[in-house]
Amino acid sequence: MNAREMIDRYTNEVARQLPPRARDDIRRELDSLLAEALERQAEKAGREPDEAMVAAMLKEFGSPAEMAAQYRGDEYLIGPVLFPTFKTVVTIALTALATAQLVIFGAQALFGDTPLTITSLWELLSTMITSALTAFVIIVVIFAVMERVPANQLPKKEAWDPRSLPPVKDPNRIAPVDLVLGIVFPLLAIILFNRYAYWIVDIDVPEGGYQFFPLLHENFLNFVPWLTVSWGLEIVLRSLVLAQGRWNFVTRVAQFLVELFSLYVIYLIYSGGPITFNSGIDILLRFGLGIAIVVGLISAVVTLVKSMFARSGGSDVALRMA
Amino acid sequence: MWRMIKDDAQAAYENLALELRRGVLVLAVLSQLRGEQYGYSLKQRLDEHGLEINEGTLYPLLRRLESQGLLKSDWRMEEGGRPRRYYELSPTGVALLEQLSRDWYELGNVIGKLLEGDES
Repeated sequence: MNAREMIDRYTNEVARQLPPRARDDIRRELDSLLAEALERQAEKAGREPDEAMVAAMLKEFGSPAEMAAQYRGDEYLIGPVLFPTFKTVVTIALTALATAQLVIFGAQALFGDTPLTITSLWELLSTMITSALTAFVIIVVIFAVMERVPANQLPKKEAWDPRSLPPVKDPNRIAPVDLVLGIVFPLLAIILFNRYAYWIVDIDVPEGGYQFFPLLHENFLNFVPWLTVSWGLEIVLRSLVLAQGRWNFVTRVAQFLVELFSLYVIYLIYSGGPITFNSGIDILLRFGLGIAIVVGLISAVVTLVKSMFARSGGSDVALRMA
Repeated sequence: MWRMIKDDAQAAYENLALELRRGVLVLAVLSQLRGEQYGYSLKQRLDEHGLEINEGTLYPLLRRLESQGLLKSDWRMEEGGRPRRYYELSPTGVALLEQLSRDWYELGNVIGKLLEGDES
């Protein structure tokens, strides 16, 4: 790793841990300070700056986490010393809670008298979310109290290695694999649903022999053209981005609109008539579609907002050597 | 056992010394910003006067003082194309420095007397 790269990675790591509005400014300042300090050190040592020289200098400045904490100058609800433990406890508690609830619900559906319906599934989900939130709040309160115990606040001088700084990511740079998959999968879906939509399922008829039934309900097939349009739009958009080499403002917004359109089509399927010829499968499918709509909406908005604030990697300050 | 007590005492000393330093750091930094300085030159000046300060403490401190309205700052392009951020006391900062230095001398006076065991 060369000197420039290591400084970039360092400032990027610091900036990542800062509030967005101060991020670029602090990064720029830190970058100019580091470049200057390195230049002086190189002059003093009488050689070009190398990896070892930058690494030593960065260690002097302090780990990105410490540096960012100094810049934030903030008080934590749960500080960096306790936070890893907090994360572990939350993960274990929430997993255990969810597993227990699923097991109880499953047992009741199988052996009890609660029938499996779309309403009961939604109720299960809302109970799970409520209890997870309650558990989370309780754990936060406990840790916030522990944070106030002086022994837990001592700033931990962490051992860190500048050589292991993660590389700077450019959020607008395209990942060709993702894009190609984003083209191939919709294409497969279009072919599958348009050509083989009358999927059949064979049911053993008691009188002997087989009888064939289409698996998907006619009602669902009405939506296939709409699905095709949304997949088609996705393919066009991704091909465009692939040709341009990177995402930009227009394609990001277009992507958001295409996603909204797909989610709307899924919503129509969700709220419309039967999907398959089996009401049990329908309940599970509808439940899955409901979750997909909520998750899809959130992720579409988050992606759009994030890309608005996306910075390009690297920095505008060049490292100049005397 | 003795070692443990010694280590504890050492840790307690280090903690107190650190707090003492932290308290006067702001005064030291403000005192050097009557004229314009950028991060690195300020650090050099403090070093030369015998006050070594870690970059990870100094640079964030400058920004905090600025956000409190005690400093003003200005980005400038140096020859060679290097941008530098210059800091200087704001009018509020000048007034505050004056007041703080008075406090400092007063306190120094009192502490000095206390340490000498003033018998009057």
